[in-house]
Amino acid sequence: MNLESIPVGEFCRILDIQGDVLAVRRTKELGLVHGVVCRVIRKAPFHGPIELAMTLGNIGIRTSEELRIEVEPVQLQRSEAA
Amino acid sequence: MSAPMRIALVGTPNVGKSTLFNELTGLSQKVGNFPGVTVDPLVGSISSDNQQLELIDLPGIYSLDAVSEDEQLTIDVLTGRHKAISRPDAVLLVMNAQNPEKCLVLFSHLAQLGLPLMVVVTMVDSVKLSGGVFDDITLFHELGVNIYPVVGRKGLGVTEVRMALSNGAWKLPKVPEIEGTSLEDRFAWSRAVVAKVLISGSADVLRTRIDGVVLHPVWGTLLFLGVMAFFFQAIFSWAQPMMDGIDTFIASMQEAVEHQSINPTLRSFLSKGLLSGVGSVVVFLPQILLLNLLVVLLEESGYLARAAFLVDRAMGLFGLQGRSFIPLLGSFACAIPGIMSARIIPSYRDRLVTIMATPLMTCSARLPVYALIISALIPAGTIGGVFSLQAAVMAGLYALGAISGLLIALVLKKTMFKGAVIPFLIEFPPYRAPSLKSLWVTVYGRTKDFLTTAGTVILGFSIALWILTELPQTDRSSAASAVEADRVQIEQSYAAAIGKAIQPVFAPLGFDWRITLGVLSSFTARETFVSSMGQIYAADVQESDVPLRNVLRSQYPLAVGLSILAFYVYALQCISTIAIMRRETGSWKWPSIAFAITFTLAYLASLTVYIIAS
Repeated sequence: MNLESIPVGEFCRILDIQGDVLAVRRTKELGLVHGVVCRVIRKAPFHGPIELAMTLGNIGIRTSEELRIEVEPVQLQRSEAA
Repeated sequence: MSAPMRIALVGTPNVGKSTLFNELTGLSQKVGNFPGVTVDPLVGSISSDNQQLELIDLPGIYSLDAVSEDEQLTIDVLTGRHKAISRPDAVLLVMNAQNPEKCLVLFSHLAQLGLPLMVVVTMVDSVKLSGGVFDDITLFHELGVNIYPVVGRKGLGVTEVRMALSNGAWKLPKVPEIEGTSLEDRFAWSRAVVAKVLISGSADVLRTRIDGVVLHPVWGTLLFLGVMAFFFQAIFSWAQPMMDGIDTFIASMQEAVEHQSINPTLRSFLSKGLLSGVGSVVVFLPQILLLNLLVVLLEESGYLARAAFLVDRAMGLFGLQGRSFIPLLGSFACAIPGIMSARIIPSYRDRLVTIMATPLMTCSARLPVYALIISALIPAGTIGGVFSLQAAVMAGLYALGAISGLLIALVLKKTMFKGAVIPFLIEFPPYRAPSLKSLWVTVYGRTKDFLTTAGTVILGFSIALWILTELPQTDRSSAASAVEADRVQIEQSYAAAIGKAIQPVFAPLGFDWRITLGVLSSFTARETFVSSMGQIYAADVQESDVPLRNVLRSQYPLAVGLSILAFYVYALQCISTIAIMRRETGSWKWPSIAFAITFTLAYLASLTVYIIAS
């Protein structure tokens, strides 16, 4: 499933990032690489950017035609989360 | 003395690199001034007893593969491929103790360059404060280079870094043993190192709470509107007393010169050429100081990234990014500080598109022109008995400018800047109090940069305009009065000759040679249109003792008024804007394109309005 379909507050694991070569590389350079587990913190209204929390630091990201992120939902206890 | 050792300051964005640079070099820094660069890196010098050092602050990077032109510059310099900036002798890498993963990935790239290296770790205090531990000794063993923890904001550890830089504590880094070359592999190595050197403290609850408000769809938006209102108020209103003071001071100097019994042409040059030229540069200083101060505060405090998150969706409709909001808003006061503030946009392309849209925002210099023409030629009636027609026209002009500017951005983004779309991607930096020294150094540096680069161009243009409007000098003694002499002077000037010569070009817009002259003379600043028209019609104004607007009303129909208004909405006729565009984009190409686009739009808009209205 894609990142947008993960509800706020839930965790997911990054499976694949597709789209514009540069956009994909920058996303990975920010730490969103395959296998990373992150939490959807909030979504800006009208399909605006999504804030994701990773182990170290948060990022804001807006998916589009040029950047599609495939994830799988992860069930985590709160204590395990970063 | 031998040539200074050249050190590149490198880091991922948001690690406190600029603050460290300011703390290390202070006021010794200057704009690099390298030919053909998209961004001018700052260069600072550090001198010690035994060595002269030159520190160059390069744009932030994540790896040795660039995503933007700014990053390409850093990479070209580091790899020795840059044409104008020679390869540095060593690299000073800045790392954030709270979030070292990305920094270590960058290190894994830099280690392959073969340049001696040193690492400065910032925000060690934040890690300690949250109960965590950062082990710089282990990091030293992992990376094979010296590690210096600092608290840049408080200047702690900075002296040690400065000493280390000049004492040659440089080492060639250990090249990390990474299986594979993918980013995933590099992150796996980086995470393993982080696990050894960092024990994170408790989560930053305060930050989470602040974010909950600042990024809230309702409260966050309200706060954003409040911050922007404050921002706009500051540059629009608070700068005004200082600007008035500068105007008064220049006027009194001019007055003093006017009373000197010297050659009249020299007197006119000193007063109306040189002094008013200097005045038109210095008058921007209050706005530039305030805007730069506010922009650095917004940026350093961590708020700007959050604001960008909130408005990104709306700005995205026009092909702009969240941070474009600041330059566009600033340009409603004045495009000069507005365009300067576009430096907060990290990508050259996005910066360019934003800069191209800024001159269409209705700046305060257009207000006097709008006010004069509206009061003179728009009927004083109401719409539906409630809204004043004149006020509606004023509001319409603001909206027209803003919408047109955004549409220009959209068209540029779809045509000239097509491709290489980096969607919104941002790191949320922690909230932090800005370093006062860093703040002062940045604001001082940018102001000095404005004076030396854009300022000299503005002064040059002003003097050229003086030549056009005040030469050839007429014999003032034969005129009946001073007012009459002024009128004769402007009517006999080169500018008037040019105005008459090119008047046929403007004739389809309904402009006679007087209006054409007013338009030409307002290239120094748009509001000059009012004083030029005043000068041209001075005799009528004095004779019949009625305000200028009544004189204009008797001279021109409504259609001409609307045509002038439409022209001023679009035309980029402000030499200061052109000068600052040249400074910030690095070439005359972009101001020329902007001038061509806006002139075409201005002409077509005026023509359409004039034909419809008459």
